[in-house]
Amino acid sequence: MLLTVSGISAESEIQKLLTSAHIEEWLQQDLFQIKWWLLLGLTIFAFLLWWRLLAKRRLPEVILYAVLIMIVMMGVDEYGEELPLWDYPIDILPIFPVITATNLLILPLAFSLVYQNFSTWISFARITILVAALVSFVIEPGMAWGGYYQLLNWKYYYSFPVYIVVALFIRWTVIKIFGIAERAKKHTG
Amino acid sequence: MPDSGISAALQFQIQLTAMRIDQWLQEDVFHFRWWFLLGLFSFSIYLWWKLVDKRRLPEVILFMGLTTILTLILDEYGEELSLWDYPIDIFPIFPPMTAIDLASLPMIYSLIYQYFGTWKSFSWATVIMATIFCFVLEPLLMWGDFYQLLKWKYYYGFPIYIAMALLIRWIVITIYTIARKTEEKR
Repeated sequence: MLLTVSGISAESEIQKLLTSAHIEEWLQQDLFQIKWWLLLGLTIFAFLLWWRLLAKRRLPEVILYAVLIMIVMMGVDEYGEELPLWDYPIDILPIFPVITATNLLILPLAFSLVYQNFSTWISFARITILVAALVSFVIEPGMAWGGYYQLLNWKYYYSFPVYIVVALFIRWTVIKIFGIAERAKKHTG
Repeated sequence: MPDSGISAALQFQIQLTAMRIDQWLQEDVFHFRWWFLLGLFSFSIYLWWKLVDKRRLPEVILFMGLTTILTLILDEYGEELSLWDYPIDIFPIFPPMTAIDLASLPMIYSLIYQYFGTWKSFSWATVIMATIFCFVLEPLLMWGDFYQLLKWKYYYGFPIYIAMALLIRWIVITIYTIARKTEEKR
């Protein structure tokens, strides 16, 4: 089985086994169970709350921030799943579970609101530390306790600096993008 | 519930990752095709930066970011469902992150967004681009062994490429319209 058979590598075989195990576990243990509904409800609620709190006037800028942080966190989260450093035992969808993982959703939503409401580096950094602490030391242990999150080769306090660095880096990126646009506009009149 | 420790899926995941890293070390990293892919990535980023209208940078990057997210999701679905495969990876973990798709799609799409300002011209450009992608680039990539179709046909991608571009254009325009209307109300 581990040999290359007709151009399809062993890797593809294991990928198939993994996907069918994901789908099977999901059908048997996750789908339509209370915890699954709870996760779905929480996700929709978080999303609606975010939309209510958004300053619609600054929508392009704040969504740009959310999108960039989402891309970085998708990368980080999928790395964590593949290595595997952590696991999400309950999935809304069984394929590419990362996109429906709650902490993936919470981070862009929370940090984009922080970005919107705190416009100096000092105030932004302070609140970022606070939010990162809240997510790493309250929300994630809470999710682990509820069975939504499982640490394998990871500690809660590893996440803490990662979240802070990502949030600061993306703020720097967005400011840079808008700065370049401003200068280009002045340049061309 | 996996309270009892580690689920079957997790076991397969551990195996799969170990195997990917192994294959990558033996067959991909520092080989010619690996360098080629890396070069292509760098070149397309450079070219994009030359061509992008800096005055509209936030808008174009927003379009590109949304395209990246959607491409990543579709690519990862394709890999997990074994619809296609990228035999050469710049990096062995989370392959779609460095797949050839991601080096080209978001950048080309966002430039089309920048250059074609009406729905009509944008749609035409999208159809032409999707045709080139599905029927020229993908067969070429397959020939070069960067891409492998498992349970997929080239023309399946065609409507997806078009729908994706139109959807994202609609989202970006809606975001800007909401912002403008709110501004006007003040």
